[in-house]
Amino acid sequence: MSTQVDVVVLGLGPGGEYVATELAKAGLVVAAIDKHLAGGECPYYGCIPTKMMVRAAAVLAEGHRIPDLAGTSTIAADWAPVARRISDEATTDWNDEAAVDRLVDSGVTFVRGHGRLAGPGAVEVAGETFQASRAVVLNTGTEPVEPSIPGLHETPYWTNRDAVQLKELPASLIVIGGGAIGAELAQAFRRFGVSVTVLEGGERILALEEPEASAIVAETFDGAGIKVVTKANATHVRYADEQFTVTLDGQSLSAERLLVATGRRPNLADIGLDTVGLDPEAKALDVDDRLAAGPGLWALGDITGKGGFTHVSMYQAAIVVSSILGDNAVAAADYRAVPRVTFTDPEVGSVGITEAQARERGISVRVGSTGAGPSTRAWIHGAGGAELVKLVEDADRGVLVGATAVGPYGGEVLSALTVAVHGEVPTARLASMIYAYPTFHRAIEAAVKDLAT
Amino acid sequence: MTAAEHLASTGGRAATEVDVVVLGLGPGGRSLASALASEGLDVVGVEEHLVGGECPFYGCTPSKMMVRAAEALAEARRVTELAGTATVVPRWAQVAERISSEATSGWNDDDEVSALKAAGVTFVRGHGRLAGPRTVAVDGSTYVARRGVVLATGTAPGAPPIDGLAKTPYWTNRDVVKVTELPSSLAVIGGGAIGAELCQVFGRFGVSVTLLEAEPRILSEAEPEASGLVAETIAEEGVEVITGAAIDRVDHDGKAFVLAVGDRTITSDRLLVAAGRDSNLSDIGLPSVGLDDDLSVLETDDRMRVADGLWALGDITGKGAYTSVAHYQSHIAAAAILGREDGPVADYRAVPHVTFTDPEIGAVGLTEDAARATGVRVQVGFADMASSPRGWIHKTGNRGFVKVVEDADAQVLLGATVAGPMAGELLAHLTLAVHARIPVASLASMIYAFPTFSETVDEALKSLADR
Repeated sequence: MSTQVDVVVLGLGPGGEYVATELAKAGLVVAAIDKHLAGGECPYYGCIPTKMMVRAAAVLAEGHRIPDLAGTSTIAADWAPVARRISDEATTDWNDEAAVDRLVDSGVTFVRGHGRLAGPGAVEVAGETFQASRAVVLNTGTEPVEPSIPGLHETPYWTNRDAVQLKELPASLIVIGGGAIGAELAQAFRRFGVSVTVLEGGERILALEEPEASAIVAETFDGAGIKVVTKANATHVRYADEQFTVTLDGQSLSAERLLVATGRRPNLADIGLDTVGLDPEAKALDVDDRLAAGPGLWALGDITGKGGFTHVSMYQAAIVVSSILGDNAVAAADYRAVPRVTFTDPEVGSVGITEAQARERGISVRVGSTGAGPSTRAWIHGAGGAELVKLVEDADRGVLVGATAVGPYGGEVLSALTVAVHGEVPTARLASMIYAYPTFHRAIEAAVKDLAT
Repeated sequence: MTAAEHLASTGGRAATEVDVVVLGLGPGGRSLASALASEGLDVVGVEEHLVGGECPFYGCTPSKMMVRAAEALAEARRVTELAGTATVVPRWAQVAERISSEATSGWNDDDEVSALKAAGVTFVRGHGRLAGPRTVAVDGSTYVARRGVVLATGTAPGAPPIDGLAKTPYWTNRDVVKVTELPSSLAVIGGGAIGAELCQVFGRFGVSVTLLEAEPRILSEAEPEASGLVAETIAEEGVEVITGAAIDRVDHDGKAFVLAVGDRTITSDRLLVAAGRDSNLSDIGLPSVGLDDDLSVLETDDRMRVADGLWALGDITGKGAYTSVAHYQSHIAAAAILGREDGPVADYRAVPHVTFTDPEIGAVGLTEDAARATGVRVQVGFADMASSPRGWIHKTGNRGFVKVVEDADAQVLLGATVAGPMAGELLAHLTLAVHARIPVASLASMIYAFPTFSETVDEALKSLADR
C-alpha cells in the first residue's frame, strides 16, 4: 500500500520538526517519521537537559565563591531538583506527546517507526510506503559512538542519554572523551560532589578549540579537582562488583560509573541510501548550498557534516523550506560563521576557523590575543573570572576568519565576533569602536590591538 | 592676552615651557599624557586629587566589586530553587577590604604616579587653572605649553537644591565606596545608574533601602522597558522604590536622616545622594581663554579641539560620562596633538554603556524616543529573554529583553538596549551593529549559537521584519 504525499521528512530532530511544520503550514501534504522522540536529541538528551545541569552547577559554584568575595556560605548540593527539572519541565519524562500534537495540529501526518528510502521519492515505514511528489527530507541525526575498547561493549556504561536521566549521583565517575559534552558533564557532576576523571585520547581536552582555550578549561578543571588524563590509551574496560575499571597504559582507574562521550556517528547506514544511489557508508551526506542531496532529495542537520549543532540544523531548515517551496526567499547556505559554545565555566565560544586551520588553508594569518593579563572586569570578577579572546585575521583582506572567546560569558561575547566574521567587518572598524567599560568583551578591543603588533 | 602678558599678571615668575599640559588625570587625561610623553613630547600632567581619577578610586572599579559580591550572594540564594540548599551569611568587611587593598591601595595613587613618571610625564599635584592661552598655573608655578593645553577635569558629585540637605552628613559615591560597616537602613536620592546599582547591592547585603527618584521612573535616560524591569526586580528584592518623589526637606538629628517626602517621613541611618554630577569647569580659569566659567560642558570639534591650542576630553565634553568615552577621546586627541592629519575623528553614534544591576542593562546609540525625535522613520523590534530557550533553562534570575531601534529607510540599527543576566556582554554585538552600520539583513542572516542569550537579539531583529 502506498500513500501519496507532497513531502516526507525522515527524522524529527529540531530541523526536521521545523521543516515538516512549516511545509504543512504552507499547505503541503507532509508525512513525518521518527523512530524515537519527535524533537530529537537536543530537547531530550542534549542541549536542554545538559544546560539545566550546567545552570544548577553554576549557582553552586557561585555559592562556593562567596568566601572569596562576600561572606560565608554553607552549600549542600542536591541532584534531586535537577533530575526533577529535567524530567518534569524539560522532557515530560521523555514523552513527546506535546511535540507530536504540535506537528499534527500543523497538519503533519506523524508516523512512529524506522523509515527507509525505497527508491527515489519513496519512504517505507512500518509496512507502509509514502510516495513524495516533491521532496524527501533526510534529518536522521547522529547517535553516540562506542569506541573500540576491549570489554567496553559488555559493560553497562552510560552515554549522554543515560546521564541526563540520572536520578541519583554516583560517588565517582570516569568520563571517556574530553570534547564539549564530556567536559560539560564532567564539570557539572564535579560541582555536585562527584569524584570525576576525564580520559582524553588526544593531546588536550576540547581538541577542536584553540589550544589556549583548552588550556584555560584544563586549568580550571585541575583547580576543581577534576583529574584529566590526556593521551589516554584505554586498553580494556571491565565492570565487576559495581565498579568500572579502565585499564590504561601503565595504570588502571576505577569508578562507580563510566560515561562514554567520544563522539557521534551519523545515522546513515540503515536508511536505504543505496536505493537512491548514495553510499550508506558515508560519514556525511553531500549537499549543495540549498541542501539538495539529489533530485527531490534534501538533507539537513548533523548528517550533512556542517557542524552537529541545533543552530546549524535550524539554519539549514529555513533554507530547505524555502528551497522546497521554490521561493528561494532564504539565502543559500554559508558556513563561514558557524558559532559554537562549550558550556563549561568558563564558557568557550568560537566561530569560524582556528589559527591552525587558517594556516593550513594557506591564508596569510595574523593573530591577536588578550594574552596573559586579565582585563579589568576579569580582575574585578575575581573568582571564576578566567578570560581570553583570540582573533584569527586574514591579513590580506583585513577581516576575521575565526575567533574564540573564553570567559564567564564567553558564549555571549561570541555573538559580536560572529557578527564580525559573518559580516566581514574590517578589523579597522573593530578597532575604532567604543567598548563599554568595564565589560568582559573589552577583551575584543585588546585582541584587535594585538593584531597590529 | 598673550602668554607672556599673563605671566606678567601672575607676578612675573619664570614660566616653564613644555609641549603639552594635561589638566586632570582621570582615565582619559592619564592615558593621553602617557601616550604623548611616549611619543617624545614634553608633557606636564596636573591633578589635584588622585591620578587615575574617579573610575578606579570611587567609581567603576569599587562599585563593580560591590556588584560582583552581591551577585555571588544572589546566585547562591538561587541554589535552593535549582540545586540543593545554601545558607549564606553576607559579610561586608570582605568587600570593603577588597576595595581598600586590591582596588585602591587605601586610596593611594603611588602606583599610578609612578607609571605616569615612567612614561616620561612630569607630574604636578595641585589645582591647575588656565592663565591665558596655552598657559596653566598650579600653586604659583606657571607652565606654557607650545602645543597646547588639554582639559580633562571631570565631574564632581552634584547635590540637588533640597532644603536642609547641605547641612547634613550625607554620602556621595566617594563616601559609599569607603564604607567599612553597613548601616541598617539607607535612603538613596537619585535612581540613575549609580543609585540603582548601589541600592541593589546594599539590599542584597541586608540593608533596608529606600530609593527616591524625582522623575516618573528610575534610569530615566534608558528605555522605559529597562526602567520598569529594574524597578520591579529591586522592589521584589525588598528595595522600596519611590518615583516622582518630591523631597521637601532633609534633616539629620545627630543619629538619623529624616526626609520629608510629600506626606511621608522617611528615616534612615544613612543617606546617599546620587543625583547627577557637575562638570569641574567653574574654577579652572576658563575666562582667561575667553570662555565662560559657568558652562556645563565644553564644546569640542571632532578632534577634541576647543580652540587653538586647547583640547578637552572626558565627562566635561558632554558626550557620555563614561570611562570608555574618555579613553576613546584620548586616542583622538593624541593624534590631533601630534599633528596626524589622518588621525581618527570622533563619532558618537555608538556610545555603549552598561548599568550593572541584575539584570544588567546595556544600551548603545539612540533610544526609541530619541530616534523618533530625529525625524527618521523608525521601526522597533522587541523580544523577551526569559522565555527564550536559554532564559527558560537559566530560570531564576532570567529576566530580560532585547529592544532594537531601526532606521527603517537605511535599514540599519540606530540604537539598542539589552537587559538580562549578562546583557553588558551581549551589548558588544549591538554596539558593533550600530558602529559599523551593519545592514539588518546581514544580522538576520547570521547563525546564532544555541542555546545562548544572544538568540534573543535574533528574535528582536525578526520582530522588526514582522511589523
